[in-house]
Formats: sequence, structure tokens, C-alpha cells
Amino acid sequence: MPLRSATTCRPLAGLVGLVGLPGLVGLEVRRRVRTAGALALAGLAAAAVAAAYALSGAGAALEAAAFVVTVACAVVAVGAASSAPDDRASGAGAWLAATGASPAVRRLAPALAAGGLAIAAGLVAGVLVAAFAAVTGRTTPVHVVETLRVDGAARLVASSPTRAAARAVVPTGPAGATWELDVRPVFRAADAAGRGTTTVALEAGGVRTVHPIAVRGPSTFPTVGDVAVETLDPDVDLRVVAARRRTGDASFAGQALLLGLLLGAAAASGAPLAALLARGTSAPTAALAAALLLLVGATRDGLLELAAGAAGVAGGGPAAAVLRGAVAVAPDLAALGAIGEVVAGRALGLASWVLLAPAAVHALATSALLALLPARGGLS
Amino acid sequence: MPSSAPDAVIDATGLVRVYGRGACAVRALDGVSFRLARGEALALLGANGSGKSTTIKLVLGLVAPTAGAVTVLGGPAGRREARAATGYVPEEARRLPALTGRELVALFAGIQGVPRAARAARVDGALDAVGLSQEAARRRVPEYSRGMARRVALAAAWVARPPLLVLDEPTSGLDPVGTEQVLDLLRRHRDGGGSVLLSTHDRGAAEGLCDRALVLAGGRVRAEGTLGTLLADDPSPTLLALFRRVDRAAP
Repeated sequence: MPLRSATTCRPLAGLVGLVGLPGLVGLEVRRRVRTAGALALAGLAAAAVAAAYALSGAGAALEAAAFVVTVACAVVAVGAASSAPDDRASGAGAWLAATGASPAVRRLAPALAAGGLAIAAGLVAGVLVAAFAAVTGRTTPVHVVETLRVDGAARLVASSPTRAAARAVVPTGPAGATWELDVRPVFRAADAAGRGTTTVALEAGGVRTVHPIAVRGPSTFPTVGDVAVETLDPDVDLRVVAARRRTGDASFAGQALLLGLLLGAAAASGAPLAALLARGTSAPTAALAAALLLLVGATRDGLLELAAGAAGVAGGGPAAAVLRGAVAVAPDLAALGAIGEVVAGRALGLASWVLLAPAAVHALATSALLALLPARGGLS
Repeated sequence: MPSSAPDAVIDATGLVRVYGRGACAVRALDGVSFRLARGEALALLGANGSGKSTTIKLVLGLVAPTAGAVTVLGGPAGRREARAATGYVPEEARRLPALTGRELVALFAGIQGVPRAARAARVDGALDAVGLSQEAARRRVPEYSRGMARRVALAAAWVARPPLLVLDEPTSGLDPVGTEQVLDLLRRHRDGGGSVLLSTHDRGAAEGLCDRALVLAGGRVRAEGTLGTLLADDPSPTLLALFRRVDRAAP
């Protein structure tokens, strides 16, 4: 019996140009999950997370685990670099290029799959960390906080015979809760640089109290309405980073899960970058370059400070330009600062997720380049 | 805008393809023209390096012609509509080793636009048509013999019931039973109005399926016609003899 041929393409899917995207993403996910070493790598990553959690000191356990999780997610994300070179070598690229899937869809599928797997890896790692914490009892109290307005000076200066004190006023809200003052030191005298504590005075409702606090990081106090803050140490000025009011407690397990998700999402921004680089080079080169750019993105503030320092030195201009150039092309991974938030006992707020926006924009831009840049010779 | 004969599924005119540049340039195709009508099967015959694979790549739009033009279903080769209407079976079919046979066929069903609701039935039908059992379809492609891999690749090419099938050595590695199953599927496709372009060294496949054959040598068409006609003048009617004859006749 003769077979009747028919064109069965869906017109709507054809119009939006996404025909075959789910299938190709599924193919890419299977390629990664079903490789011989995938299970071993997943086991190693889980063991590394466990070891980081178990072997670190109580305060650093979450930080160490988060570092391992971030590295593992980044490795998964830059794995997007493997598909295009593999397909070029095996001929699978030509086979898929002969189908109705558009070149853009074929190029985006590895990035979407690797990015999705990086986010999934982050979530799984979050579950693991929560489980390790429950087993070892190494949980960190996590509080829901709201940022408080800081009026007056952003840099607290003690009064002296030659200058007046620079004070800040913080509306901490009604009594019965806790607020924290987050500061960084600015040492006025060289011999004060090694100092770990300083002294501040708080004045509220006509009552003045004196407190020793750490020169760096948050210190907590009971809320008492509007509080005037003044440093009493003439050798150490304090830069006020933030003032926060604790409004409730958060579940550590929930925060570990959210942190894993956020770290996975931040790392996922490297997937389209790796896939884009792999269009012009080998898989290892593209993966390494993408990983380096992720590292640059994670350390961008420090690199920019280095660049500023280099620019001020004779002959340091090229070094500064190189550092700034690397920062400019790398995704901004400021969102990784969320690790410090949870480690410090602060629940992830909207602000932490908003910090993902630059990395998301970078991922969208590299995805657009990946999809739209034509290939040489007509084949994607 | 290329124009083509109204009933032509493939219309190739004066195809030239040069790889490389300068002293290293290789003229893989040199003025190849042919047409493939609806309901017709055409065999590309020729020794290795004769230009068969390059012709197929041009039809699929995988490479652009240096000169000349090729249209598929009335439009330029390689545009999305043409690719969606073409089922392609490559020479080596074990190129996606992460998938099972069934997943591979389902992947191509999705890419080629088979509606999700009909996909499972279409995949089953395609696997059945090439004689691949459900048990075999659950195994990963690298575990397949060359013949099984060919069958699953054919199922993947045919699952969306495209008007045009392009096959590179479709019966290579198949046992006689498998060869007959594949040829039967291709005959039914042709008899149902579909078109087939295949490159082959298998005389049985060419004779059992194709209405016409195009004999290529050195990137040029050296002979064209039914296989019976092409072989009629040879005292020993084999493809080897045919290839030797066209090589001798080549300038």
C-alpha cells in the first residue's frame, strides 16, 4: 500500500521559529547526563560539598560549601562549550542542520540545556547542604531583615580638639526587636591598622550607651527608636555600609535551597558565553575562556580596584586597561555576594535577586549573538 | 529568485562547487544539472570522490554552490521550509550516541514538526516500518549494529512523512532481509507520491527502487537514464563495469 507523504509542520511554531527547541534541549541534557563520567562527577561534587561542610569551622561551613557549589555549577554551565565542536567532529551537526530546526534554535539548545542543568545542580546542592546541616547540626541562625535609612554622616568620625564628631542617625523602629549596624574601618593611624575592635556611643531618648564593636562587619543592638551613632575612637573612622532591622527568622534549609538556586542561576549565565566561544574554537579552549570570564565576573570589584591602583602607577596604564577590558566583557556576578548575606545570618531578599539582573542581561546578549551571528559557509 | 519546473521536487542547474582556494582548490562538482519529479526515485551513482556527497550537501543546503542553483520544492535549497520537507539519512547514523533509537526518532519527529499528540504513534509506526522492534528501540544507538543504525536513521528521516527523502548509502551494512524492508518502505514512499534521491553503490538498491540513475565521475554527469539502459551495452552488466566505462569516456 502506498504511503502518502505530507508536510506536517505547525504554522505557528514555524512563525516563531522555535520548532524542535524542546527536543534539541532534551538531546543536549541527555548528552550531558548520560556521559560515562557524569555520575562520577556528580558524586565527586556531592562529596566535595559534604567535605567542605563537614571539615570547615562552624561559621565557615556554609561559605565553603557555597564555594564548592558555585564551582560545580560553573563547570556544568561551561559544559555548553562541548556541543558545537563535538557535532562538527562527528557530523551530527550536518545531520541536524539538514532538519527544519533553525540555526538559531540549534545553537541555543546547548546553552539552554547547560544553563538549566547548572540551575538544577544548584538546587540539588542546596538540598544537600540543608541535609548536611540537619545531620551535623551546623546551622546558622538566619533572620529576615529590612534595610534602614541612615541619616547624617556616612563616615563616622570621632570628635577631637581639631574637629567635630561626624554622627549618623538611624530610625531603628519600636523597641522589642534587634537592629544591626554594618561598618568598615578607615584607619587614621598606622599603628591602629591591626585593631579588631573599636568603641561607639549610641544615644536614644536622651540615654547614651557605649559599646565595643568589631571594626568590620555587623554589630547588633536592641531597637529603641531613632538612634544617634558616634564613634569614640579618634584613630579609626567607621564607614557605615548598612543598617538593618531584623523582622523575623527564616528557615536555614529554605535559605540553603534559595542560595543554591541563586548560585546556579548566576553560574548559568556562563552557558551562552561558552556556547558562543565554542563556535570559533575547540571545546576545551571555549570552556576555559568562559570559566576565566566567570572568575573575572565574580571578582570584578577587586579587579576594578586593582585597575584603579595600576592606573595610578607609571606604566600601569596597559595593565589597568587589560583588567577593565576583562571586567567589561565578563558577566557581572555581584549576585554571588548573597553567599556573604546568608553566612552573616541574613535571609536572601529581593535585592539579592535583583543583583542577578546584570548577569541575566549578559546572558541574553550573548544568547542573541549566539543565535544571530551567521556561520561561515552557510552551515551553523 | 530561482525558478523551477512546476512538478520538480529538486531542480539543479549547472551546479559547481569548489573547495579551497588558489592552488589548493578542488572542483568537486563541475556543471551538474538534474531534476527529480514528484513520485520519482533517482539514484546517484559513481565511484568515491565522484561528487555524490557534494551533490547531496547542496540539495540539503549544507553548503552553497560556487555557481549554479538548486531548488527544492520550488524554493532555494536550505531554506527552512525545504529542510522541514526533507528527510535525510546520513552515511554514518551513529552520530548522536546519547539517545536510544526511539528517542532519536522522537527527536526528529519533534524537530520536523510532527504534532505532539500524534508523535508517539508516528514514532511507533516509523520503527515498525523499518523493522526495528520496540525492545531494540529502547537500546542506545552506539549499541546498534551498522544495519540497525541505518534503519533507525531511516525511521528518523521518514517519521514526519516528508515529501522528499535524501539518502546516503541507505542499504549499506544491511542484511538481505533488512535491505528488502528498507527498499519496500522507500518504494511505498515513492508510490505514495514521495520522491527519493539516494547515493548508492548497491546495484540491487538502485534497480529495485530507482526510475533513473545519474552516473557521476570527476564532478560531472557522465551518463543518465534507467539502470537497464545504462548497463545494456556492457558485456558484464555491473556497476564496476559502468564506472570504468564512464571513467574511460571522461575527457
